Amino acid sequence: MKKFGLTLTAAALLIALTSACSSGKTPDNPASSGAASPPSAKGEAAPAETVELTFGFNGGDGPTYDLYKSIFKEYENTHPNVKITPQAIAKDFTSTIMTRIAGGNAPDVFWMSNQDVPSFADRNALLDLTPYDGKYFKSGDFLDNVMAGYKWKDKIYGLPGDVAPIVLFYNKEMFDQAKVEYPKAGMSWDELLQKAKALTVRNGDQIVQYGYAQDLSWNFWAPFVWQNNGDILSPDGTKSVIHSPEALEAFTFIRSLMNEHKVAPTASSMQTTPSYQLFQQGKAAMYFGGAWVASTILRDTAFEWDVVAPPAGKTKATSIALGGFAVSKSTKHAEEAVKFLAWLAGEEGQKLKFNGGFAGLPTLKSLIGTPLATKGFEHPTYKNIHLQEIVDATQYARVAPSSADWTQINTEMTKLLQLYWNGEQEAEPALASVDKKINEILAGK
Amino acid sequence: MSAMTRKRNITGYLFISPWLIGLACFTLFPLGYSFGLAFTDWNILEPAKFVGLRNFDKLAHDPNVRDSLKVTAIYVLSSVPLGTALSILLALLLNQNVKGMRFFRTLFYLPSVVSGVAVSMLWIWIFEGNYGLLNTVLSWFGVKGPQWLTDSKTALLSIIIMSLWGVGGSMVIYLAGLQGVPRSLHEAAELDGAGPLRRFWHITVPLLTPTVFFNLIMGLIGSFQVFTQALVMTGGGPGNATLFYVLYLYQNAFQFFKMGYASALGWVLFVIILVLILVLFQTSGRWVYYEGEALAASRPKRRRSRLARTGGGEGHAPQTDIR
Repeated sequence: MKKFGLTLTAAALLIALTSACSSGKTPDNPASSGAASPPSAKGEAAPAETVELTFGFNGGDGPTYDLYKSIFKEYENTHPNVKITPQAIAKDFTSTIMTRIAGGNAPDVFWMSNQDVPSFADRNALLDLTPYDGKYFKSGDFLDNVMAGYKWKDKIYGLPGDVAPIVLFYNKEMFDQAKVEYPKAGMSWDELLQKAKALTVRNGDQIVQYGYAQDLSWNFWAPFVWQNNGDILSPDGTKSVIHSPEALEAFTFIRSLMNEHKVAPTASSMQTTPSYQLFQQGKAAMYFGGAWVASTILRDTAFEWDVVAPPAGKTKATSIALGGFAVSKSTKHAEEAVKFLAWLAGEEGQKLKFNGGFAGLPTLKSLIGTPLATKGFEHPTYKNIHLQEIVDATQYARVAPSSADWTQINTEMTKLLQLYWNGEQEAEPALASVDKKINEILAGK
Repeated sequence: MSAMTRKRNITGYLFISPWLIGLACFTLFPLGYSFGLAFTDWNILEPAKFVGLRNFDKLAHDPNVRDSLKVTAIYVLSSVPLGTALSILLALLLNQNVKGMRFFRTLFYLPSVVSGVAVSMLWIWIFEGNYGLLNTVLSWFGVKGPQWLTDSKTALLSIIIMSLWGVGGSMVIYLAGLQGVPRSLHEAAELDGAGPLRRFWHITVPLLTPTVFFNLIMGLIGSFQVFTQALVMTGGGPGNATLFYVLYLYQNAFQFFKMGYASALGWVLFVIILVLILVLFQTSGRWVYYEGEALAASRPKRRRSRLARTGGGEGHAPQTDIR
């Protein structure tokens, strides 16, 4: 009987493995199916059939996820025929969503960064929401510059849920100590440089305190290009316009802060210590960064800080990060999904979200002017922070260039620009090579 | 076949079935699938479109492919020989009869156990231009070190240097090889008056060649597939200075949605590695010796069992650990 036992063990192993091999197609969700089973036991007027909508959430367990879940509860309470099942995607959100769409297993509604909208929309993965405009939502209710992030070729492929611009933070104590006037919204580049110089502290050759710090991803240098009336791509997104005198001037200015005037950290030192860390640790007087740090790393600093709308060149401009939601093209409940999305991104959903302390600004014209707009950024102890500056910057901030190849453009651009930031190449040849590369990508070469 | 044997065979197959199914599900099927994809334009979200040989044509003219092949070739040609030399040297040192040897062996093996991403993060700090460990040490000798990872002239060199961190893996295999050298041969040679150097060159080295051969093949395959370090530390830059072939493949597949093109890249790499390994096998007859064959040196050598005999499967080349 020993033999039989062996065979049995082997067979059990086999079954265990084959089932592991084929699972994934049927994501068993005991919790949800169990909860969804008693639909109209109360005998209300609710339709007999319960619609289950899955929601792909960007991030893992945490306060934000809990907040979203409580918002979904609210929707379920008012819409008894709908059941929302959140699915947290903690890592590699974009590629996970993509894989699930490819596998025919996409969530009905999911979080989506505006930077991914063109590439997903261009590849037919998102439901065109234009027919529902005016029925369940009004695209005109949203801030125009923000709504632009969820459009692709004049069609709507998602609704913005929250927004945060890139703004200028400064360490008040350092300014007081150096007896330098606080930065003002829209100060000139030269004023920025003068302040940065006055606030840089050196010990021999070593810089112990930087006057200014910024990171070098596109959303931190693009504002300067825009402020100088330059741009990365042409408005229709078909060709590069980065090789221009305007962009050249902007790039030259940013690098001069690092390499010439030595008032900002260099590209290589940023590899180990990103700029936000320098500011947080009290080693930089000004930091040009995303408003969201106000509610995260700047919550407990050893110093008092404030925030101001970015400097301005020929025009006022800055970039924004957007979070929003889209509906999968393959959803079986398009009508219900759009209805839910419109509610979530609409006034009711946004009120719940920002009252719950979500770190971001609302995207609706009707809410941006209310105290709710900056609730998520409020500091527990420093009450004099000018959060209105963040709202002001949001009004004229711009979204990422609209191109289905944006990820590839960004990857190649970042790599090529490293040669400029580290001083190996001058601005002119660097921008020329970036320009050539972008046009190659756009031409599909 | 008796009922008994058949039953035994079934049991046997059932026992290896987890592996067989794994192979079929996760290796053979994707392999065949990717071969088909190499001839399509597939953006993952829409159905694949057959494009014939267009991906291969594009690949032949893609400056990034050219750069990445160059970067990868330089890396393979320097990190494999350097790694081999260093791990043999370490194995020789750790094969001495000294107190606390077990401790040292563990110590040198330890780094190759650490995950690739963690190692990369660590080395970013070592290579940091202003306060990094490497430049601090250099400054003690009055040398001003470069901005290792952010300078296109030193970025690849940095990753090559870093690859030596993982020599512990192959070192252990060399150590096993060294321990397999029979003492009797050394004793006999010593009686005949051979000095330590002569014994090393004429006894140890020839008997170690099978191990070298095994490690060379594993190292070669591993080095061609290097990826994590560049992804974490440099993103392929500055410029294309550290754009490893597999990094570019990964970017195309999972960041640019160009799965068909990435599959074509993958199959080209497969052919390159295959050809190199075949060449290596061809030349191995001239420099790989086996103890059992020492008596009949003129007999043509059997190739098939070589990898198996040198303990294949047990060891990992350093690069294969980084993942």
